[in-house]
Amino acid sequence: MALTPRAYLHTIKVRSLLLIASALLSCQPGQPPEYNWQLPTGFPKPLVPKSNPMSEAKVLLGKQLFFDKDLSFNQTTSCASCHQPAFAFAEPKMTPSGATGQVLRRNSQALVNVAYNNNLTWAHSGLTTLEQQILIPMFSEDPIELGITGHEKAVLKRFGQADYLLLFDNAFSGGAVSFEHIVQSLASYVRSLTSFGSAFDQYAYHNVDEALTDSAKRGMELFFSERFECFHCHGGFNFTQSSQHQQQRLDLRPFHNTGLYNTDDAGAYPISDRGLLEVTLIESDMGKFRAPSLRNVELTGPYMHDGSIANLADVIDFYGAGGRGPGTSNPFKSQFIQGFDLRKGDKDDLIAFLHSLTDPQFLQEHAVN
Amino acid sequence: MIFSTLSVTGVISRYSSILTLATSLKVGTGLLLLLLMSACSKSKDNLAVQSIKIEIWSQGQALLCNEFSHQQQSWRIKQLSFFLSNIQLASDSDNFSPELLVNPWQTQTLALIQPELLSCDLVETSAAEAMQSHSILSFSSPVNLTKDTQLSFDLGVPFALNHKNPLGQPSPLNVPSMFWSWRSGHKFFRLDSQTKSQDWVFHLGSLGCTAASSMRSPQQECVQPNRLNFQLTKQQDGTKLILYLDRLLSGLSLQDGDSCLFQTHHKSCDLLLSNLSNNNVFVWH
Repeated sequence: MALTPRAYLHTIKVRSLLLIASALLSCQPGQPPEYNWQLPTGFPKPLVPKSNPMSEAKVLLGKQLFFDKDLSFNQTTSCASCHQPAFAFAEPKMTPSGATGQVLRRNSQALVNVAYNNNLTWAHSGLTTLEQQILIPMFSEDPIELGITGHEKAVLKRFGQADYLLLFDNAFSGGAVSFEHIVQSLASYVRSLTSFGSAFDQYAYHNVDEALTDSAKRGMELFFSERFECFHCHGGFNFTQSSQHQQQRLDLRPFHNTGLYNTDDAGAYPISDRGLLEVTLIESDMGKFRAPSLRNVELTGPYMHDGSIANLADVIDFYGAGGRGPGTSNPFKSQFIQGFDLRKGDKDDLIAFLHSLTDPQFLQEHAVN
Repeated sequence: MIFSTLSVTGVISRYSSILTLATSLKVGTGLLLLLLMSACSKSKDNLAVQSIKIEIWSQGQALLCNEFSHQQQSWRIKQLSFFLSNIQLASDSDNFSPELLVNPWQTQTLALIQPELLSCDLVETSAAEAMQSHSILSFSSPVNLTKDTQLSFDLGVPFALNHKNPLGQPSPLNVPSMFWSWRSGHKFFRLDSQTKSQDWVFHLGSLGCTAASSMRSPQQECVQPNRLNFQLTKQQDGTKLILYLDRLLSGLSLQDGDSCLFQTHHKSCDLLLSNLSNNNVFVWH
């Protein structure tokens, strides 16, 4: 089947034309190749700020930086110190410590599908992009997390080595090593952490009936029932109503008071952490915190903004009681936390359902060797 | 040859300019006439509108913010949202379904209404959870309401659209707070209200939907679809649709905390359904 000289010439011509065409297409200004989110069919893409479009090169640089202790002023702490991949990027302790050992007041959140979050951290209505949020762990002086403030030059200098220069060059086409680029890369990496490979996803979105155990199916029915009300705050494809995506930008009910505390019988939370109220100064925002996604929740304990509930069984008991102690009568408590009676087997079934939200592919893909 | 081609082109060009001018004049005159006609159509005899405004009233007046009074108690609305579908306009001789403008709140055939009800407490107007609002039913092109005397719609989502995977659905059929599950479908109407010490909630939707689980769609219509149809007679010029909260809540003692969540049957649901059907809850002005 050797080609005739004429056919050979023709093939070369066609190939050359294709090459030129593809080169022209890839050279169009302002048209970088679209980032491949590798989402399962049917899942929506997240919204990404125009000022920081996604790219493989930024994600790669961001990943390198995320695990690098050189990003803390004293080279003791990286982002991954408190956001550990084995725990869906949460940390298995009540509250984390920063680079100086200073203990933070809020539990480390999992970094799963945060690209879809409209609000970030536990309780801040003004933090809507990762680019804004990342500045806090990097530069905050109280509490100190990475502690870069006052050490900017020294920290930046550490990223002047050849391997990093190449990564910065690829990510920002000749761009310098700067905090702006570090923030943009970290944000891109964190955005790339999408998780839709749980048994629940197989059952719900890929129609695989046997993906869930009978117990998980019973738990799912409880979760979505008006008796338990779980889905009112943990609703939508991401199990939190602070999510949005390219086809859904309307529905946002991110913050809720769950009745954890009531120190003065008038609804007060401990002075150490009063939730959204600290940002908005609005009385009714007392004790309101953002409902986190429940994806991979099996691995993200301890739970609640202060890590004050140790495990999922206790979380279910807490909601069953409609809050904790005096918190049950907190006047600012969400109207969907009324308590419920657990029948025999309910708790095990609910836990089985919550475990079905664990995504083994995600954990394997991001496991640190 | 080149010159002659040029000169012919020139003639054609000049001729076509004259033609264009003439056409422009004709079009211009036509447009002028149309404009004059459309100006006339603004008269009360010929009213073409792009949208119908939705207002929430209680005790004889429109709510200006998110509080209403019921049995001498003040209630604050946390959320008020509902779906309108199967929208039809009818005159004595004609009956048609106006196409809706497609936007995040509307598909061609249904709309999610979420009236703007800001906090009555001025201090709270910057509340972090201030919800987005949509208080109008927008048509894709102007609709002449002069001859139409009847407006009809369903309060709810049609069965064919009600139980689908929300990830594959266009907005507003993918709004989590208005969706129970694939089996139960959407909340057709949602009113969440609160006093300082109590909560009262009404979530209307279909009941008796049979499917293997919450994440599977029923193949047949639910036993109680609870998709209520309203046939309204025009009261004034038809530019307003009013929802009367007091008529909806008539006879209910919200103090009992007897919320109506349609998934678990409550006594108050029967009364609310009866009010929706018989108490002129919606009026087309």
